[in-house]
Amino acid sequence: MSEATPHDSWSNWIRDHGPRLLLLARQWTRSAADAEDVLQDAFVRFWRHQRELPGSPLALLATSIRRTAFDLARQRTRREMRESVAGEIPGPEPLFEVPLEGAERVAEIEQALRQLPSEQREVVVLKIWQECTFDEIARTVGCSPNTAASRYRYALQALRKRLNRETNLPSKAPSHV
Amino acid sequence: MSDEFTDLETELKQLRPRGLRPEFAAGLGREGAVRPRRTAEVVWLWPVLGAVAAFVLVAGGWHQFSPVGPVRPSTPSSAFASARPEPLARMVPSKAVNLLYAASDGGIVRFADQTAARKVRLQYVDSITWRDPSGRTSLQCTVPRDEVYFLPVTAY
Repeated sequence: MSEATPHDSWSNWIRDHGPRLLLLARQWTRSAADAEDVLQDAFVRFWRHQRELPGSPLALLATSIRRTAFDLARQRTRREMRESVAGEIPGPEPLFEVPLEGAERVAEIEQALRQLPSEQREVVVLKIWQECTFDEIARTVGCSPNTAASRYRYALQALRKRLNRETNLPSKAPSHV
Repeated sequence: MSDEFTDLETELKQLRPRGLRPEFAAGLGREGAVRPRRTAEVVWLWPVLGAVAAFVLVAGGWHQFSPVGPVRPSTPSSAFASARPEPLARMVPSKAVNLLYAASDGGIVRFADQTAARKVRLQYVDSITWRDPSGRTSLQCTVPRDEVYFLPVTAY
């Protein structure tokens, strides 16, 4: 039986984690193409300089991706930077795989996620799909763990509200006539 | 997080982020497979490379007998290109400078067959800069180089 080469292990690692990291990069970039550029630069930066640092590799990569995305944004005009960093996720490219069943629900969730404020959305993506702890999220986005947890809670509340409204389900809070 | 959002969190976790384009994933695969841990390698590699390149250049100049002017065109030395090590394969040459800083006349010399020639010595400093197109890394190698020419002398 042949032994796995470094190339094999690296390819497997990309296959397992690449999609989640690309989703993360999309939070801070203007297009899927920009996200790929950011992800590639962050991978190279991580692989050359950070892969032997202590701590979770995914958390380190998340920080590297965020930093690289902001470096890219700084190269653009200030107006473009505001649009790319603080606004909705631009670009028509879908963020998630579309299943054969439940495609509408996936589209609703994606739309609701895109409409979240960026500081809430990045925390949700780091928590749900990167499986980061609030401490790791705090280090990545530069806030306190309590703030990260608060943003996460506000984001879930907003997501639930939007999803309930779009599916015409009654909200938990009763409306007054 | 409290049980209040458990259902929503579960539903979100079931969403699978969109996969990488195959060609993009392949590009990342190549990048990682090279394992360019350059810091430890470059420490010993560049002095050796510089010494080899200098030897090749000096030896080449010594055996070159064709008369030439004192200023040579500024082109990257093929010796550098051929001796470039594998870990720097993604570094591309971006600048090459051949600085002539001294020229001296060694006078008339006679070879064993009694033919006369004028010995001319030219001293250069060669600087070649490589740049990594994907990053902000650049590398400059500076090597001293001597060229000695024997120009045929004809007595009338």
